[in-house]
Amino acid sequence: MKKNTVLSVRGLCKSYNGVEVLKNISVDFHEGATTTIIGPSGSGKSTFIRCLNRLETPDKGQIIFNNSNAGANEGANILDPAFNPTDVQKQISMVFQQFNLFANKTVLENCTIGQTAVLGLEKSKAEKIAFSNLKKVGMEQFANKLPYTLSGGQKQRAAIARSLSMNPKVILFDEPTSALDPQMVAEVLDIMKKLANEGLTMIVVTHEMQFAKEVSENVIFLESGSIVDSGNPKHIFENSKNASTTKFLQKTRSTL
Amino acid sequence: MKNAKLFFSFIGLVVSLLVFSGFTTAQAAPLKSGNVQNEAQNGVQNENQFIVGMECNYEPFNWQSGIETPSAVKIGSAGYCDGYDVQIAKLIAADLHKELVIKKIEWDGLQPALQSGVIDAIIAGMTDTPERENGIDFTTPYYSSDMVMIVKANSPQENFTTIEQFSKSRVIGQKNTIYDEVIDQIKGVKHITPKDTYPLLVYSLQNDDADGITAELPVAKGIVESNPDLKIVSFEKGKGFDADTSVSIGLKKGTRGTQFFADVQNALNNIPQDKREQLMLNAVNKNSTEESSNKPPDNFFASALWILQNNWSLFLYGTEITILLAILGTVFGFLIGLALGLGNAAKIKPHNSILKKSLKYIMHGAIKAYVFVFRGTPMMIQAIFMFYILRPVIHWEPLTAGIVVISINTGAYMSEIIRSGIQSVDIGQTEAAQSLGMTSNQQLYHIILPQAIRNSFPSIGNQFVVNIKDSCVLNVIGVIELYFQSTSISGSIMLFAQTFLITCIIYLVLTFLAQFLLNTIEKKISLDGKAFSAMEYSA
Repeated sequence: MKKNTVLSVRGLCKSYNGVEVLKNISVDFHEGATTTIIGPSGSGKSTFIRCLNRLETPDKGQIIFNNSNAGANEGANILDPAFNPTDVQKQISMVFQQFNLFANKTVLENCTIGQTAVLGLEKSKAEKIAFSNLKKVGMEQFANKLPYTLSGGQKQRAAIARSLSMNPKVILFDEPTSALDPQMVAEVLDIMKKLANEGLTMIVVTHEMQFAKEVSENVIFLESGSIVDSGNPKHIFENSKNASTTKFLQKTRSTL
Repeated sequence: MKNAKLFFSFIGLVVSLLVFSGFTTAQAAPLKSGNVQNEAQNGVQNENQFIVGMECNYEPFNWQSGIETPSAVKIGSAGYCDGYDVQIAKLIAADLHKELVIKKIEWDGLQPALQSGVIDAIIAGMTDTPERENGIDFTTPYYSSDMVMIVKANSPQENFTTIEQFSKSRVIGQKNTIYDEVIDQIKGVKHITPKDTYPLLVYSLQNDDADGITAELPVAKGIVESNPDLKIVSFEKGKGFDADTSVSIGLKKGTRGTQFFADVQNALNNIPQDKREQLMLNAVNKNSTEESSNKPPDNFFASALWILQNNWSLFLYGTEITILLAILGTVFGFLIGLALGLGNAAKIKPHNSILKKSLKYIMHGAIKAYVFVFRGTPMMIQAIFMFYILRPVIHWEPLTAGIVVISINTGAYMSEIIRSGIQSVDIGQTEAAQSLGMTSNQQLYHIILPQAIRNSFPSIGNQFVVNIKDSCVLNVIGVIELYFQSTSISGSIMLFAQTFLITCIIYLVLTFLAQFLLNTIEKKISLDGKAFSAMEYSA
C-alpha cells in the first residue's frame, strides 16, 4: 500500500561556522508512520529534525510540506524565505529532550495556550481537548500543577499532551527520554508506542534501540551528517550490510 | 497560575492605585501653595497674581520658618517665609492690586525661573550688576547699605578697620554674588571657595574654615543677632570695598518700557525711605526675637529631637513627596522599560516586509539612543535641562516635572533590566512556544515576559530603593522632597548635623521598609520552587 508523503526533504545542507553538519540529505516521511532516526552523537540527528519545523534554518535544500488539511500551503517549500515559519510550526509539533514545559503555566495551561493563542479555539473547548490528551498520557490528576512540582517522566508526558493538543500533522520527538532517569524512560516510551499504534505521524530521534526496533516503520541511520543506511527495522537491525550500521549497533547492543 | 494571577493583579492594583493617588496628590500640592494651578492653566502671566522668587535663606532680607506670624507669607507646604523682601513684595503686590505668591527658589535658579516665566519678579536682595543686566531688567534700588565683614569675636580680625588688614586672612563670600567678587579687592587675601547660602558661610566661619565673611550691613546685623560669637567689622570711609551694595527688583529681560515694569517701579517709588528703614529694622529685630524665643538644647541628640518636634510637618511633607516620587518613578519607569524592552525584543525577520524591517531598525536605534543618553547623564542634569527647556511649552510644576524626569530616567535602567530578564529565560521556552506555532509577539506575551519579569523582580525592586534615595537630586528644580525640606530646615536653624541625622534616619526607615516589602513580594511570586520540587521527588 502506497502511503501519502507528508514531508519530502531534498538536498538539505547545513553548516555551523564552516563545519558541515548536514550533507545533502534527501528523505520522505509518510503519513501515519513512525520514523526513527538513530546514529552516533554529533551525527546531526537533532539538527536535522529541528530543520523540519524550522527551529533551524538550513543553508540549502527543500522541504516540501504536504498538508491535506490546509489548501494554501499545500506542497509549499517551507524553506522559502517568504514562507512564515509559524505556518508549519503550528502543524508540526515538537517534544524536546529537556521537556521545555512553560514554567509559568500549569500543566493544563501548557496544553491550552497553543490552542487558544495559535488555533483560536475557545478556552472551554481547548480545556476539553487538553483534558482528553492529559488522560491519554495519564496526567489528568496533575492538570493544575506547575511544572517544577513534577518529575521528569511526568513533565515529558505533559509535554507530549501539549503537542497532541495542537492536533498536529506530525510530532517530532528530539531524544525524548535522554534526560530521564532510567525508571522513568518506560512510562514515556509506553505512551509513544500507544500513539504510534494509533497511527500518529511521528519522527523520533532516539537512542532507545529496542523502541526503534519495535515501533518504527522506517529507520534512518545518520552518521557525520549523511544518511548512510535506511529501511525497515528488520533491514537495519538484522540484515544490514552497512559496516557503519553494524558497528554502531554492536556498540549499543547492550540496550537491546 | 494562582501565583501568576496574583502577581499581575498586584501589579495592576499598584499601578492604578498609584496613578490615582499620584494625580490627586499632584493636584493637591499646588492647591496648598496658593492658586498656582491657575497659572499652569492660563500660562505664566496670571492677571491676578504677582509671583515673586527668593531664596528664603538670606536673613534679614528673606528667611523661612515653620511658624505662622502676621507678617509671614505661606510658601506652599514648605512653611512660611518672612523678611524685608517679603514686606517689600507685599507692598508692591498691594499697589498692583494683585495677590502675592512667593516661591522659594535657589539663588542660581532665580534667573532661569524669571526667564522661563515661573516667577514675575526677583525680590531677593539681588544687586544690579552689568553682568546681571544681560539677563534681567532691574528697577531702581529698594535698599542700599554698606559692605561689612563678619568675623569671630575675640579674633585678631575683630578690631580691623580697613580691608587691607585682611590681606593675610581667609575670606569667604556667597557664590555667584558680588560679595564673592569683591574679596579679590583685598591684596594678598586667601580667597576661600564660596558657598551657596549664608548659613553655610556662617558655619564655615564658626568651624574655623574662614576668618571673615563679606556681607551687607543688615544681613550682618541679622546674623550677629542670632550668633553672639560673631562680630561685625565696619570699614573707614574710603578704606572699605568698592562695591554697589544696593539691591533692586529684577524683572524679566525685555520688560523695560512695558506697563508692567512701570507699575512695579511706581509701586516701589511709593514706599518712602523712612518706611524702608523701619521695615529693615523690624526684619533684623524680628528675626532675632523669633530665634531667641525658641532655642534648641545644647545636647546633640536632644537638639536633633527638638528639630524634629518643631519641624515634623515639614519633614513629613518632604517624606511623602519622596515616597511619591519613588513609587511613581518606579512604576512609570517600569512601564517605559517594558515598552523599550519589548521594542528591543522585536527582532528583524527575513520574511518581514521592507517597511517593517526599516521601522524595526529605526526603533532599535531610537531605544539605544534613549538608553545611551539617560544612563549616560546624571539625573540632576536631566532634571534641570528638561524642566527649564520645556517650561515655556508645558508650564509644569516642579513636582510634575520631577515625576516625569525620574520616570524617564528609571525607564532607561528598567529597559536594560527587562532586556537581561528576557535573555535570562531559557531558550527552550522560546523553542517550545515556537514549536506550537506562536508568533514572536505571542511567545513574548504568554511565555517569555511573565518569566522575564519574575526573574528580574529583584533588580526592579532595587530600582525602587535607588529611587527613594536618588529622588533627592530633584531638589535642584525645586521639588519639595525630603532633602529639599532638610536643607530649608537646617538653613533656618543652622544645625546641619542634627537636621541631617533625622533626614538620614528617615531615609533608612524608608529603604528598610521598601526592602522588606520587596522581599515579601519576591517570595510570593517566585517560580523557583527548588525546595518544593525536591520534596515532590522524594514523595
